Amino acid sequence: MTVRAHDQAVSLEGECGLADVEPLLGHLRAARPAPLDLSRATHLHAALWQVLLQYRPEIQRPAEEPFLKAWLMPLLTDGAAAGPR
Amino acid sequence: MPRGTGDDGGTAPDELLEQFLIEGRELVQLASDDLLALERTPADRARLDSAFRAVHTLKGSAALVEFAPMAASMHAAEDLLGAVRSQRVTAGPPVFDALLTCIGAADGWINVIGRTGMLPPDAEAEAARLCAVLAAALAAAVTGGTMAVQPPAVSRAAAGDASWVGHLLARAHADAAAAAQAVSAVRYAPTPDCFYLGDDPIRLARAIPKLKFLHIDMIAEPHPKDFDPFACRLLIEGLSGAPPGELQTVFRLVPDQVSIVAIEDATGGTPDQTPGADAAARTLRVDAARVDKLLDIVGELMVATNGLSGLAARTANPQLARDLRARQAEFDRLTGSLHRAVMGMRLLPLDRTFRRLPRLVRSTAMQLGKQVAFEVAGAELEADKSIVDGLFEPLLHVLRNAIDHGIEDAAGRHLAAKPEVGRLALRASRGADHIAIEVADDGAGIDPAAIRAAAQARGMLDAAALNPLDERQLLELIFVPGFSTAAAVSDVSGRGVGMETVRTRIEALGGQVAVASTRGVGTTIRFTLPQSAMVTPVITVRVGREVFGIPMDTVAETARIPACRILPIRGGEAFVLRDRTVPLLGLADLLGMARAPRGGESAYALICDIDGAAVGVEVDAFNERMEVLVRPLSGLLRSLPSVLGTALLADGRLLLVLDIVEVIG
Repeated sequence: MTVRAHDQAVSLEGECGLADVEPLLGHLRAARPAPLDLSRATHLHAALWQVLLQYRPEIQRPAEEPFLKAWLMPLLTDGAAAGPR
Repeated sequence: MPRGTGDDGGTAPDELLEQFLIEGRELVQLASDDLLALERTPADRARLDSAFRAVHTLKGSAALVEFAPMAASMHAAEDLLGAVRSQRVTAGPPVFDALLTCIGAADGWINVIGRTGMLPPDAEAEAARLCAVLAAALAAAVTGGTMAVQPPAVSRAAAGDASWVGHLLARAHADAAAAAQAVSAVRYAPTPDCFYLGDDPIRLARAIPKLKFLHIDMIAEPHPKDFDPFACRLLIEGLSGAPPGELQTVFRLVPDQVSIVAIEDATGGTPDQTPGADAAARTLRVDAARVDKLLDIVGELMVATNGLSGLAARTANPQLARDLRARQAEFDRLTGSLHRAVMGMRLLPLDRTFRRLPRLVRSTAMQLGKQVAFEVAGAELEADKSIVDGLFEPLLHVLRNAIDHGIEDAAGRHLAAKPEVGRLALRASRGADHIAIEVADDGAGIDPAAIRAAAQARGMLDAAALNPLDERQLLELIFVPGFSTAAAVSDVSGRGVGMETVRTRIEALGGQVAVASTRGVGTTIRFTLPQSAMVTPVITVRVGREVFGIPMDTVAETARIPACRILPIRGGEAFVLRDRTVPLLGLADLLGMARAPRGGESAYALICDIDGAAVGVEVDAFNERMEVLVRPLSGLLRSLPSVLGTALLADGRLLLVLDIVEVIG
């Protein structure tokens, strides 16, 4: 189980794959979704990124893994890419 | 995330709507350009992606401003395009017909929204119909056949193929100097079902060797309630410092979903792509009203500058007078170049209007069951905004006429031994001081006998008046109000708005219309238009208490003639100018105004060149020279042949601008 709920945040840890899509969706579809902690994730499956791009949750701690940090985090934080175009 | 109109950082709803209209028109145009190009080259993946994005964005914008029927039909179009992209359906004519019909409807809706702020009442029914048509096209096209698949090998960057590389490089450039080190580019569009096949596109992207830049996009952000997390909608584009061969190895299992391009080929092969992106970045979008305001100020500045000349005459100090004149000359020069610069800002490429036409030509031809190849040339020429915009309706009318009445149906063309597909050309070319725009078809041509018969039947002219007319004069009759040779009042043209409307519109733009036609060979309609708006340098003259403007190009020179040198000749007057006898006519007489006796020692005359002969036109005084925007007369005044038009002066007075040739004639 790599999706874990804490008190203030939901964290994705280690290698996150297709199996994590449903639990993540469950959190994000909550009335008041908790912010996400991606700092301990080493990889996120493409399907998970789609979910994040669709729901654009609040990110409490961004991913620190170099590839994710360089190329994928900007998609979530970049204002230009956000919202309906 | 859906945005309401109220909580949008203070954006007023009407600003949102305005933005929607601007963006909507661009997207409709983009989608229609892409679809027409795709119809010719179905393998053009970049065009397909671009059409998809345009439709997708249009859907989002329509939903944002709450035009639900429009959003719904764009959604259906997006589904169909999505199926084409994922190669679930073969893109044949029915698919393009359905998509272009849908885009055409969106175009119409945007125009209505522009006028009224809302969708027309029948939009909902129309949208439902469109959705059904699109769904039917989707169902009919699901054959398992595939669209031309991108070759898995390294693309040698055929021109249309690699336009995305240019965009990607431009995008990367902003981030880092990485673009400079990139050797190859990859575009990876995973199939929607790739997750089920065990692919993780992000993992593949991670494996790109020497990654310099990565861009990931959701190409089809669906409506939240339709969101399927297991359907892949990502588009991944990357730049790599490794040669294409290494990328091929990485993507060897998904060769049908990637294109890999060697950069030096791509940039060399698409010279018209990257500069285009640059040009867009250097462009500033300014409201046309602001440019017009600027033009008004320039006009006032010119009048103010002209006022300086009076000052020079009033001073007794010759040194001061000389200085004032020198300053005035400098001001003249500067206001002149300012004026030209502002007029230049109003110049737009004809393409702005031309690009809207191919889709309309196509749909008209389809409606009439005719096959037409439409070719456009000279769209890059520039003309004043008012002219470019004003051309749309006359051109559309002429094109529809050509398809409806000009180009024969299949049987007719077969009988005439012509190729099955009719040819229709829209060509613009630049003359010395004008732009010529021609619409030429290879249809049946206009039958002068039919015109003669129709004119007689409608009681426009009787036989006696018609008989002496030659073919050319008969052809000119199509521009006479109420004339239409359409055998049946069809849906397309012939609804009583005939060629006379075309002529009126073109003349209002300062242009002229001509027709040439050969029976059995085709018809050409030619518009001749000024390149800039009708800014005409005029000299203003006073006659009695009236002031008139005379275009400078009709005045050869101005002359002050000592009264003693004016000779009475056969009831008129003349004077000798450089050994030539020049007749002197009073402008007051010519205009039928009361003429005051000539006071003072001298007469003032404009020397005009009429058919090679000099004629002097006497006025009471010369006033100032200025450049004015001449507006053609409308309504009752239009029948005054001696008046070219009116111009609004900076102080709000109206200046009548005379056609001096007509006045004398």
